[in-house]
Amino acid sequence: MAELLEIRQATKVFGGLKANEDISFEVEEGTIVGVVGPNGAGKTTLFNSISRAHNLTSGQIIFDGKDITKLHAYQACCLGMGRTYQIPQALEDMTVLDNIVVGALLRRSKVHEARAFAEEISAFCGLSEMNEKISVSLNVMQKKRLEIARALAGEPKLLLLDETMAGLNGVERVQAIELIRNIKAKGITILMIEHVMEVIMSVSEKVVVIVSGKKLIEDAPRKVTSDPAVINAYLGGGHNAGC
Amino acid sequence: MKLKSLLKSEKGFIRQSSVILTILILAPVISQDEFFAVTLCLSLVWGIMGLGWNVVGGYAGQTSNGHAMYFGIGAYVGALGLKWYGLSPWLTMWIAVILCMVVALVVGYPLLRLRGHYFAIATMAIVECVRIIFTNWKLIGGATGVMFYDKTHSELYSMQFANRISFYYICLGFMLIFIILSRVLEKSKFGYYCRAIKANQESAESSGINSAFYKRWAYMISAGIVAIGGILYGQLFQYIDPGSMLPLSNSMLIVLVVVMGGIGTIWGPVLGAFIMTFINQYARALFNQVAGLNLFIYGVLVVFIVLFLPKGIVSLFTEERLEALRKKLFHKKTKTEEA
Amino acid sequence: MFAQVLYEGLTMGTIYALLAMGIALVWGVMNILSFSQGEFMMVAMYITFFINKFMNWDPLMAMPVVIIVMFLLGLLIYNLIIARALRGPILGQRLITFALSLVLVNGVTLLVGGQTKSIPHLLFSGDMNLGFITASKQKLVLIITSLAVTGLLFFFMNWTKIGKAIRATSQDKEAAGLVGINTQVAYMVTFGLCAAIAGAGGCAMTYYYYFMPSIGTNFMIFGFIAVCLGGFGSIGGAFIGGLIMGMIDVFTGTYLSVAFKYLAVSVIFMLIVSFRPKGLFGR
Repeated sequence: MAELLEIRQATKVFGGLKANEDISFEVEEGTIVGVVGPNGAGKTTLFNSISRAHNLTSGQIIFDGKDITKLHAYQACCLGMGRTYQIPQALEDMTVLDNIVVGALLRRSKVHEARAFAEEISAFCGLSEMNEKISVSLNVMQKKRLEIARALAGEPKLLLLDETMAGLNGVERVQAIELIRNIKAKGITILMIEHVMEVIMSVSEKVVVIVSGKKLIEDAPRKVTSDPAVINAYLGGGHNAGC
Repeated sequence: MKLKSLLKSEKGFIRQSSVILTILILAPVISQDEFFAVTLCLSLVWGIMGLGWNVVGGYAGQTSNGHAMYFGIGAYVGALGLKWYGLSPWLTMWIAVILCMVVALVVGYPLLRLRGHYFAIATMAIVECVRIIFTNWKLIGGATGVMFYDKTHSELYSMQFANRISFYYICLGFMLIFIILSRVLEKSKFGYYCRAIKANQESAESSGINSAFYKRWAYMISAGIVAIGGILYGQLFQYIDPGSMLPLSNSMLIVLVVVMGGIGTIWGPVLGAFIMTFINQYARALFNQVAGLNLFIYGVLVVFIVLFLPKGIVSLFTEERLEALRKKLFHKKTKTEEA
Repeated sequence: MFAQVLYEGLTMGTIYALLAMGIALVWGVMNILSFSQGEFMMVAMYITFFINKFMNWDPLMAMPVVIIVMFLLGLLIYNLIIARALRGPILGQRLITFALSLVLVNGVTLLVGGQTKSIPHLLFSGDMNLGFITASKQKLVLIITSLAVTGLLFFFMNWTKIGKAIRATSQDKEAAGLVGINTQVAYMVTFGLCAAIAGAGGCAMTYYYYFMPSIGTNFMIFGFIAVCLGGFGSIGGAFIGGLIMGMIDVFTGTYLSVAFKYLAVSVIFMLIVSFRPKGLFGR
């Protein structure tokens, strides 16, 4: 299979702080790749670089055969990259359906066509009952779904999900996993940041572990969880230092 | 077929507009007074400017505090065209619109990159510059302004009517055009994108919206509409000067008209304009020995509206209330018919 | 000649600095673009005028009274209007301060009329010949007042408990609330403080200026730009921004023409916000 996304030596420096250092990995088409790591490891920074919310200090991002390192966020989106935010950024004064219509207008310039498609997507994400609600009134899970729906409405090739599971309870988590599987079934590649290991284990083909801004390891989920370096990073290295 | 479905989907809007337009068409019947007619015309001019500002301020959320610039430029183009070259305002308005859109394009590049208060302050600073330039520009009349009462052409050609009612209907025609334009923009991809940018620019960008492009177009369209307002204002009074066209208070009044009526709505700016102009004109006329009373009343009113009706006066007319009113009227009618 | 112009620039600059500090404080703490700051100054001038007229106090003697009255007025306006507006949209907040300025300008006009006023007898007047410049004593009063107010404000913000609370609130309202700061009180005091600064400024300005109800409006845009120059929310930045504005104002006015004043200021403003969006001294 071909690589949809390739990150080459991505480095991002804020002031004097290296948030990402020399990170490289690939995402193959049609797979789900998880990005995990402790808090403050630089996962969201990496996401922002990929989705072009800010510029890399050095390195390259290749998406679908094109170098997108210098593009704007909207251009990356036009090429087929959709994203969600860790803290949901709904278009708050607009209704749920209008939020999705905004996404759908990317590929369909006629409003009524976009509306019809948005209704489809809304149903796919289980938001149909809330179509006419103002999005500010939604709860966190609904807002996260809405973000996914808006990104899907733009018919992306690659979907970047930033901590979709955080703050969800058990039932909601199961529903969310099902949604992610359904999205994959549509042929959309997913790159997701996740804290909940159980989720990553059950859906992803590959896991990239980032610790202190650097890539620690990149492997199949099962191997990653048994890797001593990963365990060390997650448990804070306390049991090592204590000896 | 397409037209039919369009009419069907816009039924509510068409019903609203026909009621309001009927009221506006019949309004001059209320009084034969010249002052009343001028006030009506002025209300429409402010309404048009409010509709213009609403495109960039209401839909795209870029709250410019400098739209008096386009008001002034528009009025000057109309005035000087007529005075120097005898050109009809019907022609010069195109020049004014294009000129204002070009100016908006040029100043929009640096301006629209700014956010929030910085954008507001920068727009104010630019219009202040324009005011100073116009005040010191001897060629275009400097501080004394331009007088361009025209006797050589027909009334229709110079758009200067002895009978204010005729002018009122011309303004009404323009307003109708901009009402329809607003509605089309609101319902189009452009409208959705503008509202998305207003709601959350980062989020809009990540949904594939080129926010700089859409903001710039919103700003340009808005400038063009306000230019027409400027031309009409000039033709109404046949006298303009930088002091009355370009002060900061004019820029702010354009914003206030919209916020008072209801920001981001179609009828809000129109309603706000009528209320503001009537208060202004009549407070000035009735208490002309008490300087400042009109603006004092207006200021107090704005404070109350912002505090207690943050979505403007149109938010009083909710769908349910209108429906109830309609039922009431309809009910009465059937009763009288039965009788 | 140059030194003389510098002195004029310093005078003008201190006026802008006083105005800018008030605006910066409100902007930094509650994120409101306050259009009424200039009008507060104007109101303070009229209060000084009437104290002078009826009690025959010199403006410098009246200053403490004016400052207290303005502080109370600020608290009143905050509680009646601003506190409510803060719950609404940001444009509404901006417009409400503009509406407030309409009410103040026209309210004062209704009460006392629109004629120009000035204070007839002053404690310090006339010129001092310092050799290289002739400095007017009135302007010196203005400069000293401005410096004193700035010094006091620094002391207040850095060494008093409520000052520290205000600074904490301006950095992060929610976090400040979590550590037990009453942010409502911090807001209220901030607004009162702004009015009090305007009180000191207005009072000192009567020493040198003729005034009418619309005087505040004339300074407004320069005040705003001074805040942007300095970087919003930073009081020291606003002070220096104000001084720079005064210098630009007087220098372009003297050496070029008054018409270029706004042009120069606006061009500089656009350059600064384009290349240093957080102002010259913003972090």
